[in-house]
Amino acid sequence: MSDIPEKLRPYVFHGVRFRASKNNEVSASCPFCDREDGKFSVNQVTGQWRCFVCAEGTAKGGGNVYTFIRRMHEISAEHTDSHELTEFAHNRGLLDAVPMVEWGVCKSILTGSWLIPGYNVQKHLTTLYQYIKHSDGSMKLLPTPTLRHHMMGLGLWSDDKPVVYVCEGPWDGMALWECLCRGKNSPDGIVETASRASSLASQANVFSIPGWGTFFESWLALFSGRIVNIMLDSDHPRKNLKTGRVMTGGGWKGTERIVRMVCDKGIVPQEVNVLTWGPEGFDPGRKSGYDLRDYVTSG
Amino acid sequence: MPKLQTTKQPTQQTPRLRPLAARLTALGNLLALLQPPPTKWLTGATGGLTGYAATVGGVSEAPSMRLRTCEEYSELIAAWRKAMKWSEGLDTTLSVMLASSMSTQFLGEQLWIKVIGPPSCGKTSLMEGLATARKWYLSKDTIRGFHSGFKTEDGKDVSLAQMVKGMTLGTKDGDTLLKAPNLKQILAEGRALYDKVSRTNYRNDVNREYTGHRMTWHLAGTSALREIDDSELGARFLDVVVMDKIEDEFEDEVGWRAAQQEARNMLHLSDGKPESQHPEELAIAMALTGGYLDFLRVNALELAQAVRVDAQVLEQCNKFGKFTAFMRARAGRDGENAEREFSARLVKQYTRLAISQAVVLNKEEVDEEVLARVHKVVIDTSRGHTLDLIRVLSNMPQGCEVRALTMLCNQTDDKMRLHLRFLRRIGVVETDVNHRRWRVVPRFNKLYKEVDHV
Repeated sequence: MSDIPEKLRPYVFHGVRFRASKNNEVSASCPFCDREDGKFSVNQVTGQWRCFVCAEGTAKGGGNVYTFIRRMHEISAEHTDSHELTEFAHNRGLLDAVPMVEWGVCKSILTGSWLIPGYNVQKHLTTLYQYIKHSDGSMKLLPTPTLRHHMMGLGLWSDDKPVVYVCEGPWDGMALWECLCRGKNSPDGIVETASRASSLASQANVFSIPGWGTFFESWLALFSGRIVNIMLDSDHPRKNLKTGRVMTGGGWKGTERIVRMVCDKGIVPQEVNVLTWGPEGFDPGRKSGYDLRDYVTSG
Repeated sequence: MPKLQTTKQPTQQTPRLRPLAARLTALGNLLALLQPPPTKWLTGATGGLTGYAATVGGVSEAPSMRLRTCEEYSELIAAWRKAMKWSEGLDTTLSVMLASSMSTQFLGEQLWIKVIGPPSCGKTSLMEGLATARKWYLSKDTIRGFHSGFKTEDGKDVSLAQMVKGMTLGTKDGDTLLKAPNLKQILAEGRALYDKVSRTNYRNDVNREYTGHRMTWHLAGTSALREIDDSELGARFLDVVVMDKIEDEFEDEVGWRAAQQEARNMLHLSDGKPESQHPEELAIAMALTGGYLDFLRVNALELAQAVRVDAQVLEQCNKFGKFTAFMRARAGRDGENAEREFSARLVKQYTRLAISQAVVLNKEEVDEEVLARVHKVVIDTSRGHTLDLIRVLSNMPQGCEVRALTMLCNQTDDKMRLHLRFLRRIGVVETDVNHRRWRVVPRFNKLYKEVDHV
């Protein structure tokens, strides 16, 4: 990817295959109208795109990379097969596909990989994560190149809700969201409900950060005046192979970082709570990396 | 339209999923694990150290950027890479500066560093990053002297020497310092502080005596800083060069990033807070640098004790020191009457630098990578006409005539003869039997090969 011009990387990442170039314009078949004649063109200096056949995008046709990923997401969501989505939801430990639909998970029309939208503080879709197989066989969540990391689940954000949960990774966020949507408080604890209005989700926002080490200061604005619950993973301390020193586990370290940022930036939440898996921030009785989803879906 | 539209039916059986009721019970248990954050997190970064600067040595209570916890060099460098066009020179410079600051409180010779590079090469950004750790790093743009005869009502010592006790002094604009009218006085005071004993008396009955003051000094500027020669304070400093010359392609790349950065900057207003004075990535890198320096200083002893040092490394540092002592020797005003410095101080500094570098780079021992960085400092400190000359002569076992050398080294004939005669006096070069060709003394040539080819 590094040998591809910077402005073209998002397009290539999402499956556009460029063929010819003339001056600064590179052309490909259009991902939206699927014309094979290279009428889809991207300027490799500005990153602006345009299809001279279907004129997708803004009112004038075409747009920038954000317009592209938003349109890409819309069309992919429209064409995602519900059975496949349900199957994928089960694979991720969810009871059904509803949380995935609500979080905007869909299958890319070009690459066939799962897409998860990321939003900025203004709740605009600003990146599109791909859940793809890495060369080492593991599944990875990669953001659109050059668009950096953003929050997932913010499409559902409501300013009226007083509670916010911060989770690590989209699957944790969706698992929590599913439970909050289908549970309500009662004298016997949390019990099932079919009414979204009376559910725990009616009072709570949930969003996911891509990993414990990724949290930008601009995101803190979401915490102001709210009860903030930070729920990162139970990562065991690890030994630095070079120095032999024992380093704090990632989840606890990330939690500390967010709390310190809250203090440092003068953001005033109503309350801050952190998920404390154990006295040292992790549960030694469970494997490292044990998370919210594991706890809820498999105990 | 879309290419991968599928209507595939589920092929796998629905896996056994935990029932909702059990999930909700688990959720209740999970929410019970939510607790207020530990108190120590709420007292400021890295153990409540921030804010300390306001009480240090009378430094004004300017708002300081909050430190970020950082315990690994790789994490720090990753942040810098995001913030600016990173280069090997900047990497080495940062690690050397961190090593110098980290070692401030240790016994022995101190690591005073001259950071040399062309304008806008990143020196100031690195220094500003270190200066976020205000407990350990004092950034001062102008220096009028280390001592002060000013007398406050409560008798408080407001001199710079007192302010920087146990800290690193960072001077961003070393070139301006060279123009100071009392440069010799400043350097003399600096020399005394390096030697850890400094005294002065003023006519208003103020007597100052500083013994055992430990401090390190980072002096940044262009190659003009080399003017501080060994007759003044130069012999106390080691040099690290950020970049030799401005590579055209590198400059283009930096320029492109700078233009993009500036275009992004025009989308934000600074609200006056320290963090908002820089682009977000740079602010993060700076805060991490301060956090890492804080970590190094707080744990300095424990970290340094964990580093293994082989006898070979010590031997190599010995060679480094001796080599630099030869290379840094300068002829006196009469052209010949000068002795080279004794190498002991340099050997100590290089050994100290090697161990401190290992700590900074999170190494258990002084390995090849650490030695390579020390070697760069050795070469940077040794730069000058002598090194240029030796580089030419070392490849000519038969020697070379003066006229050829003047052309190869771009010096005048007179200066070259004077230089060669001086080098002969300190045992670096010799002439052949006909006194026509100059060559490197074999013993020194061996030392040069061992050092220059690390």
